[in-house]
Amino acid sequence: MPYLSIDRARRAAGREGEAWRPSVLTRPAGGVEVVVEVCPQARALGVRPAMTIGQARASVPTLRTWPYAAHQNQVWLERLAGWALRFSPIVEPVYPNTLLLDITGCARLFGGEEHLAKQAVAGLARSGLQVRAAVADTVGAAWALAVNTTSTLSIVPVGQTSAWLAPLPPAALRIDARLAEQLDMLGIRTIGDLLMLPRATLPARFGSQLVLRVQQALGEVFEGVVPYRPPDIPMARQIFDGPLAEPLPLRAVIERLLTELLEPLRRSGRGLRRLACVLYRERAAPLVIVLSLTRTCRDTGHVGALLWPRLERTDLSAGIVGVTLLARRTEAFGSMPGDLFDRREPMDIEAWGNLIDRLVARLGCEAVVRPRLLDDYQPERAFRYVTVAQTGGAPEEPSAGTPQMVLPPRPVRLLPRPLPVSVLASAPDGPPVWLTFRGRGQTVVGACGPERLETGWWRGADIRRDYFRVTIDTGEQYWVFRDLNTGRWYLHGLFA
Amino acid sequence: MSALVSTMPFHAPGVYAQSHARRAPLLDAGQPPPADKMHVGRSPDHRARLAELTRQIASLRFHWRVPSRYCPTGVAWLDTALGGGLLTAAVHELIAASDSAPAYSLAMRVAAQAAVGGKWIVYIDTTRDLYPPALLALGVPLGRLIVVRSGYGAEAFWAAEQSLRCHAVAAVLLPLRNSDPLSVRRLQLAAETGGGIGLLICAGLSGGATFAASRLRLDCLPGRGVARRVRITVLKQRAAGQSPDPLIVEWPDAADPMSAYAVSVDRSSAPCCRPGG
Repeated sequence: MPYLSIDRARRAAGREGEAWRPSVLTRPAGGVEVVVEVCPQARALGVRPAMTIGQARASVPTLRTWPYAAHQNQVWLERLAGWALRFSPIVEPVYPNTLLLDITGCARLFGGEEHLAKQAVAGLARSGLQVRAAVADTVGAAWALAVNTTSTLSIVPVGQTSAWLAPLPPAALRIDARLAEQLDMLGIRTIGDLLMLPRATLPARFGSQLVLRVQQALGEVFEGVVPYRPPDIPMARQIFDGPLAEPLPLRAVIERLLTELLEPLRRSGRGLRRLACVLYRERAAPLVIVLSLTRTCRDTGHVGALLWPRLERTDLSAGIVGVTLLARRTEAFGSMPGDLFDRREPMDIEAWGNLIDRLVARLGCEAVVRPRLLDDYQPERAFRYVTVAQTGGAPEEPSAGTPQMVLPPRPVRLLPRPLPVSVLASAPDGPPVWLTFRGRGQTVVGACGPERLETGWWRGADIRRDYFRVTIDTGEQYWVFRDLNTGRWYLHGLFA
Repeated sequence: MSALVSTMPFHAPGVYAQSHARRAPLLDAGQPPPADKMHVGRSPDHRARLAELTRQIASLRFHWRVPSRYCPTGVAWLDTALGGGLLTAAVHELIAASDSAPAYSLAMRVAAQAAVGGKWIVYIDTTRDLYPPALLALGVPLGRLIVVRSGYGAEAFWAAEQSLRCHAVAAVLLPLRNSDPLSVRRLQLAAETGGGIGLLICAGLSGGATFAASRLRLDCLPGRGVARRVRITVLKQRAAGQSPDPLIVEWPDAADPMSAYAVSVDRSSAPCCRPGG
């Protein structure tokens, strides 16, 4: 999977049309953002790794950039390895972008090696990945082919490994870049050339690594695949004799399974953070209810209270034939992120966590948010809401990142989008003296301003506004601005 | 028997009303027990009744009321007029007579004062126009503010009720189009359980009776320049018997200088004045 990191970033970004622009991953180095990985489209337009972002933008103005996140790639590769366990019990994720599968004896179950490989490739492609796959007798040969091919799938017939390897460059044998360069300088351009050399002289001239890699590729030395073991997910399962469409017996079963699931957690001193409840149906895809908790919990009653409303909204008419509860995420119990010198009662922390869980369970994850101030002069961009699910339920102290800009007072209510108003101003750049708002003309008796904001040009939308805080004759105060680009007036906020 | 009843550690009319409605009549703590009930415990029938009463009392402990205290509003003159501020463990209605009457600012100031002990503030964002950068100047700890985005209606009330019931919440702010007495009653009971302060910001005038502990009305008055003049009328107040006269306040933007501003009492629409000026 040569573009695993970029594919992951694109997948996370969603929105197909937007995401398929030429893309690069960048990492800060020495004060500038440096390109780390390049997608094929960007490479075709001349972007190369180790360029600064400015150079890259100069050649491709529409370039999309994402921060390089090594840890997330690793996590995703491991998740893919867990997924690939359906093809073979022996799967090894090789960082940064490769999965090794030992399919000895497994191909029969999928109707041959080719069918197995095609299914695997199709599965990975469905999750938005660009895949290069190879099936060969040895790990080394499969690796060399997968890295040096443009086709999605290549299959080496049994016993023809050396013939398939011969035209490939020696670098495909997983050797050091320096060694590859050395071989290239000596005119050894293909593995075929390399195999022509007397094997006994190789260690003395190039070190033992090269011979080992050659032998591994040809199957003279055994190379195993280190099996990946997915993390053990505590689970509890119940299969019914017949389909069940009544919520009450289902509830009783889930209650028992919850106790069964939480009991081992309690003994190991852990608590639940995320629960998945899978309801299997006859002749239909299983229903999955995922419950995220803001803090570790092992109280059956609390988890049940969050689960029942979700269950009530689920359509059970198709008949449920089985239930599985999976503890998707567990943590050491009582590890509530908090202050060492927290003076609040522990009971308060628990009550607070329960409240957040209830709100999230009923209103949805997006509805329970906390504000974060941003360092931006454009008023509507000076803050952003982050969901509690992202930040956790612990109090946040204003950090060093909190903007310390000293700005004129801001209104408590800011309209989601500025409302056009008609205005009479005595001077071209001056404050308004008359304002028509909601069909009612009002005399402006006092105005404070202008506060000129010119910002956002780097986002493509150039914001140029003159803000005034106006007091009208009834004593109400509004925050209005004149758009300097168009000359129109807008009402933006209420000093409420 | 009489000893048992008089040890009940609360005097909450609301609690009694509930229990009367649901269960067999329970003796009122304020009245002496009737003469024929004095010799309980002698017959099995009485013993059963005693056990039933004990069970009822045990279940009543769940309705333990958090004692009220005054939470300062940050407006010194208003605090004086209200006898110390707004009551905690209660719901208050702030009526904004016009769109930009400073009911939001007042509610935020009260919430900031209530949250001093490290508790949380929950804002139910029914209007979708809260601007958090402005709250910093009002002293609101943004690290302990949760915004619940919901429409008007049942979900907003449900979220407010759940939040008020929680001991970790100091204040719940709920902007409303109009208040419905039954919902306010539910919120009031929730506040009595949780001990927080509920602030209903009502747009427009609401004439009917309310279960809220107090009802304040804020009107903008014509002023000069940037200084805002606001008339605060206390329409209802549970704690002190008589409602104070309307106050006229010069409303500043930041939290601190509030008490420095002078206020006049609106007996005959007297002009606003500053001390020594």
